[in-house]
Amino acid sequence: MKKRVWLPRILSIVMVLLMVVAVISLIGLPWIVAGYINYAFAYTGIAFVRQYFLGVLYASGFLALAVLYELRRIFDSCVANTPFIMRNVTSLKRIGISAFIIGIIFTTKAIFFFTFLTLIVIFVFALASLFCFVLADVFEEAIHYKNENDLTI
Amino acid sequence: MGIMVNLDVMMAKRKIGLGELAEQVGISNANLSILKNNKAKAIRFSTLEKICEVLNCQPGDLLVYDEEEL
Repeated sequence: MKKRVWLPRILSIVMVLLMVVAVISLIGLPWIVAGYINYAFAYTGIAFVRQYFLGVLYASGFLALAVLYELRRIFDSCVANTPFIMRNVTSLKRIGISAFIIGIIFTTKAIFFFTFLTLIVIFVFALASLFCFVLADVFEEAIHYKNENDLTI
Repeated sequence: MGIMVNLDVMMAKRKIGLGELAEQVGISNANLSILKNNKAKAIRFSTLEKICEVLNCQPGDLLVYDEEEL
């Protein structure tokens, strides 16, 4: 059977690039947030806003980094032609938990600073989280079938 | 496992080695070893048929039901 290995290979490289971008963004976050607050909250200038935005973005940034790392591991296993391994089930569950926490973080953000885009982010991450948990269960079942098939002579 | 594969007994009776049998049946040494060591979860009729043909025996000579193993 012809395998489409190039797609996970490219995606794995994209994940590495995104991880680099995420690390650079996390390092430069204080300046990015300061610039944004000067632009969007010029009239208030309260320190709380800056600290709050930093907290939200640092927490979600590190979780996003974890998601990218786990995604890269999944894509690498696809490149190695062994996608049905328990490690990928663990990765999917970790991605699901991370996405869920990001959703909660942005829900608190929506309470203090409500924007329509925040609502979309919450919806997307909640859906991604549920999707990952379902996919983890599907993978676990697939591993079970694969083991059964491997031991059928 | 209640069903045991008595492949090693039949192989000894026919004086045939693992590699030779695997080659004649058309499966890998590793898979035949899994079967011989009772690690297999299932056996295909086609594999069983081929083993019976090569060893000139009946499925009953290869498979036994062991109640104590349950």
